Amino acid sequence: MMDSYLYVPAISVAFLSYLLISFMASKKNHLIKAYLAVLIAMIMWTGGSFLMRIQFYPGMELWFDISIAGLLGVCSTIYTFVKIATVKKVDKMCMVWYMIMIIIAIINALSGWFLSVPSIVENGSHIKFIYEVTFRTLILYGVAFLCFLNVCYNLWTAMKKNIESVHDMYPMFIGVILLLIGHILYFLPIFNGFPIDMLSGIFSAICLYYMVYKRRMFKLTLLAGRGSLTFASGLITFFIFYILINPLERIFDTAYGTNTTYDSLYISILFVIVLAVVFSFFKFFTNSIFVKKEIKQNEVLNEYLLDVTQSLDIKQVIDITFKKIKEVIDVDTIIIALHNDQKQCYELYSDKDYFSYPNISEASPIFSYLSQVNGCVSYNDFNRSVFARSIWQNDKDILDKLNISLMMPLKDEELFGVIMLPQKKKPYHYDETLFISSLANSASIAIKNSKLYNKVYQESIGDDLTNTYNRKYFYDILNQNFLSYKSFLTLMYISVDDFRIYNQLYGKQEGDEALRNIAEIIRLLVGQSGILCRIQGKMFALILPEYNILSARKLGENICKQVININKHEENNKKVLTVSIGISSIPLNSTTVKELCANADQALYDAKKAGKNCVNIFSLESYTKTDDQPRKKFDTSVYNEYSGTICALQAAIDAKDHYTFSHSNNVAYYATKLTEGYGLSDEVVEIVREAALLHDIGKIGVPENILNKPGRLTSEEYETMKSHVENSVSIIKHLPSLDYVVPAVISHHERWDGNGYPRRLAKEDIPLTGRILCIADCFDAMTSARCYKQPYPLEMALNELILQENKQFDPKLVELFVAMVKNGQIVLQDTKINKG
Amino acid sequence: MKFEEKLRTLGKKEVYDEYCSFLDLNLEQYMQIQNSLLKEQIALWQDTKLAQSILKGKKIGSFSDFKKVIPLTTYEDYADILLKRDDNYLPSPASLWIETTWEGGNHPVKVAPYNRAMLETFFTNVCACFLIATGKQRYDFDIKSSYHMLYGLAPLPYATGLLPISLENQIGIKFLPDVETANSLSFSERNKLGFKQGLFEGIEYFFGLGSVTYYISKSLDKMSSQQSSFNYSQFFKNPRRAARLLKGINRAKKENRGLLPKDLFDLKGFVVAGTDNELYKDDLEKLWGVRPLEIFAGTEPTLLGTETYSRKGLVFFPDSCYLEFIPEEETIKYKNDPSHEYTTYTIDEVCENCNYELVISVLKGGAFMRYRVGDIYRCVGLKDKEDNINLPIFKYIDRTKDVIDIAGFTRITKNSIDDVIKLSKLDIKDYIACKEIDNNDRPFLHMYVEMSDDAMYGDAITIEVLKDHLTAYFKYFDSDYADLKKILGIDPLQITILKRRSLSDYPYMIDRINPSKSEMVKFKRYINESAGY
Repeated sequence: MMDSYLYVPAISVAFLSYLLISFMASKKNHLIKAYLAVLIAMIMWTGGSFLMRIQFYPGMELWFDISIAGLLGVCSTIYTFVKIATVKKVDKMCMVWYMIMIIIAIINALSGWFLSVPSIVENGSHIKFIYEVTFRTLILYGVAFLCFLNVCYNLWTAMKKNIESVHDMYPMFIGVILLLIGHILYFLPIFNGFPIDMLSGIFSAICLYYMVYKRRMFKLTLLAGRGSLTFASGLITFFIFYILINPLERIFDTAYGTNTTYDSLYISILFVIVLAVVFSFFKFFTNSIFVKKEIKQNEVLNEYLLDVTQSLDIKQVIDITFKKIKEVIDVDTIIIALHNDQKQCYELYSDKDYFSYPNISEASPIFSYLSQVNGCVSYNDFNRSVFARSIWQNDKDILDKLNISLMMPLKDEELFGVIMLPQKKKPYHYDETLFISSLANSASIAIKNSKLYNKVYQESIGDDLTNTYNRKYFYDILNQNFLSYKSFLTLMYISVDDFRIYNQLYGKQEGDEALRNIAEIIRLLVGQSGILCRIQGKMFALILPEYNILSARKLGENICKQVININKHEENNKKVLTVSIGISSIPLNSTTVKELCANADQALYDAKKAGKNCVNIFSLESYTKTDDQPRKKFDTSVYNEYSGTICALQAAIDAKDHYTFSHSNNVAYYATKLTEGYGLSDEVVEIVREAALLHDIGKIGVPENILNKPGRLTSEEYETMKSHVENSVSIIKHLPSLDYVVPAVISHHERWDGNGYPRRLAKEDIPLTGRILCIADCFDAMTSARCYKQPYPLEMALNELILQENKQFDPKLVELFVAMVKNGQIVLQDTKINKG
Repeated sequence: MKFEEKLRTLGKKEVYDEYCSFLDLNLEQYMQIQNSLLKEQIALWQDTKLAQSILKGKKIGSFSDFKKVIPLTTYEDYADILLKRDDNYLPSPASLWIETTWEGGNHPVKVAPYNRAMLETFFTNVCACFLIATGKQRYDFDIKSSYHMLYGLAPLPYATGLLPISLENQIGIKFLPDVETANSLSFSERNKLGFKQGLFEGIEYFFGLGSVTYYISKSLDKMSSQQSSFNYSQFFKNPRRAARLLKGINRAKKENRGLLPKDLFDLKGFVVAGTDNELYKDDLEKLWGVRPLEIFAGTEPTLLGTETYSRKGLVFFPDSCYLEFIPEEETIKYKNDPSHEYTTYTIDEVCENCNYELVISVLKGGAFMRYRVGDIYRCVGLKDKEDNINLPIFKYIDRTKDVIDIAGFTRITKNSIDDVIKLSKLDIKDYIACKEIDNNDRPFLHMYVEMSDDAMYGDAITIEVLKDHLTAYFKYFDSDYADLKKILGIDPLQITILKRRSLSDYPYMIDRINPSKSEMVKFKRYINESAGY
């Protein structure tokens, strides 16, 4: 027999439905789904009971069956919930319990074998249900009880194993125990039919809800969702009117007589008004409790999005990020680690002290770990991962010192940064981690954009080769400095001496390396106090704000000295790399930017004229004395000037070895013809001719017995013979006016395939003049008679040239040479004829 | 957060992940950790004065240069610098100097610096060992700060002294007796006091050298067997322990045997260190009902590895030392050609069922690089299916052949034997010394000596005389040798006097220290044949 405590199941249904509606909107995982199943079962149980008590249509039999099915469902759904919460998977027993409960519910619904529909006894205003309890009823409750015991056992084992933190399990444990106690108490006479089991069901649902909430699977604000609020308001209004309907009718009767025509209308209007008021009240109430923070977070996020999209300055974006995080989360310091591609590390930025933190290597395992996770992760989780085992102590010390609690990776496809939040007194709330995740999404895009912009900007103003600024930026920054300088604005033009020859001698790669080295030297010497730009191939401009002339001169001299030191590091100290420097300064000798540049240029020109490798400060006097026309090195008159020297050298070799003298003349003939045929300028033709005449001049230093040895040379003798190339260069180097022939001379024994000597250059790295000389030299060697060999017939010599295409010779030049010989443009020379 | 706090607040999975997840690594991940930490170690080490003395002006240009540039080293390479105990020579300042005796070395002791990072790793790995020791499978362990630990380990500055200290720092387990008191007591006093306290408070963990834990267990066994002298009243103060005792007595009666420690105590974890543990494990398991977990540690290599749940072999920790292995064949090649350069292999290159000499580089700023520890390990499998471990599993075999290690106490070399013979003034012409195992599975040093002709005929030479003389001087040279008798009651020396000219006329080559079993069989056969048997 039981009393009809109708309000208990009514409240239960209302509350459980409210939770159900709220949870429907959440992101569903296995645990949430299991919780929803528990709620549905509880609603069936309490709802069925409620509707049965009010004898709702179509009749209490149906609602009774639903209630019993719900009660059995609660057992099996809670079993599943506990399984998922503890071992994260559903086992066979879940299905077994479901099946048992379904079978019992069906049997009972069809036959009432376990517990039949209660009979109703009216006792005054109360209705009582009389249940016919038999041993079969005990089976029904016994099965439910067994299921609960199984749940308790599972929970107990899980807590004992403590695989997950035991603290997480307490609410679930309490919830299950409450439900069990509720059912046991229900049978005690003291409760006299009071549905304490249903009351315990509510508390049990709250406990389970708390567990889900603790696991950060549910957003508190969902409780204040529009759907939940409407449902709750409707329900409350319904109850208000359910209680007040009779007094209201009486009031209307008193006020308007017994005419009930408009009663329904008045009550409906009143219902709507009350509903609106309750809804507004609920909305206000829930907003101020749950949603206020979320609204603020959303506002901050919107502002953040607006602010960061307006900026492409990475530091500004970082500052905005710091500011907005601090508006929502109460933390002392925020750190953002950003990847620096060039330094291959992560740089740490803090809202308190920029640049005061050391960098962390990009190889640090913390970044590998973060690249594999999504969303906020705790630093402790990292420490518990195997990644932490390989962390370097220095990085670990830095991270420990930062006292990090939460880390939010910033990614596009790859990780490029991390937002790091420190420990705080209260642990981070789920909503806070969600906020950080949302903010990080926007931050990732904003920071990535600024990094990209920064990269493109740097590329547009930078010089890739020397890692300095380019010409365009030079003029921009010079003008900016002109507008902002206080005392001085000094400009230094630095030009590499004889860089063309250097390039031809050692190849373009070496030339590039030389430029890089010079740029590095200047950068190291000038530090942050100057701006270095490369404004032409071999020319640097150094803007020195607030540098006076004397300091600039000292700096220039230092640069010259350091550049010369590069040569000392080179093998055999053969390379000669020097720079000439011209300096001009505002206001000492210039007044405008244009004048500053022109004067620095003039000073540089004078430095070159003065013998190179020196520093020259622009002075007005020198400017007026200097003629306007720069010297043209390859003037025809210049060659006439050198022809005496060439003749003298040729005479020397003639005296030593007449063959070499004739050979040089022949080579000069073949080489000049080939150069002309190749369509090169007169200037180059002249260079090739002179180089050909001098290419074997180094043989002066080779003993005659080797030069004229009839047999095969020994390897030692061959080495001596090979040295003639370097000897030639050494002789020519002492004649600065003839240095332009050095590239051709030094490379006439290089091979196209890179197996030649002395520098083993290959293909286009060999100066063109050298490649021409090589063909001419070999052709004459083959077609000349020597003491140890007869001259090759012309056809054979040409075939040999063709055979050595791509091996010893430039194929294009060989093709041209062979064609020129065949069509008579080049005529075979007599070895005995002196063409000098 | 200390280990104890973690045990209290975190789930078992989280605790396991933090300390034991190295068991879940695959070889690739393992090598990533090794390589990353080796890079750090090279960066820390190569510019120190210590490194300069070893590299002799060479530079480690890149990671791949590591093996080319750094030679294999022994303690002699470090002795002059490390014995100064000067931090200025080291990659990072030493927080602690650990000591051990240097048998056969140029100095009486060897020292090794331990810096902060190394100690942190050591502590973490000690905790991992205990988690594994007290569990049957992953995520299963039973460690409570209210539990008690009986231990038989040498105190600081020996490396074993670090183990109780690390546990004491990390978790409030009660040591029997407490570490401070223990340090002021002699070994036997400590054992007695520890056992007495254990009777009263219970013993849940037991930790010590294999040989020592066996000795302590036997003492317990003896004490409990002599029931008249055994004070059971302590047990009846605690109902649970009283029940255990009664159950134990009943079981012992049924099995018709005396009381064993396992009848008195519910041991949760049993950890042994040192050498020759394999010889004691079965007996210890019989006595305590728990199979000991063997861990591998040393003065130079720190805490190197641990057995896993199956107790089938050890897994090396990935973050204490960078590991290289010299295959046994290499030592034979070296023996035949001293100019032969050893080839070493990394852990991902080892082969199953092969023996290797271990070479370590102590990570996190350690002093020793490419250091030959002198231990031989056997790779018993490239994975452990039972424990689902995908890393090579090793078993400790013994010291390298030139060292005779008895029960983890003493290390005897040819030099030390020569010194002993010289001091004893015994007219021993030649000898073979080798480690042998007796019928009770206990190790001993067996010396086969050949006396000079004069001594054979002129002096009163008996086995007893030789044994007494040699023992006296072994003890004089090596205090650890003396401890074998004093602490473990082991008499480690057996003498066999060989027939005249047995060794000098022996036509084959035979190592004088630890010859192989086949060499010894051949030698004994030769002796028997020449005796006309």
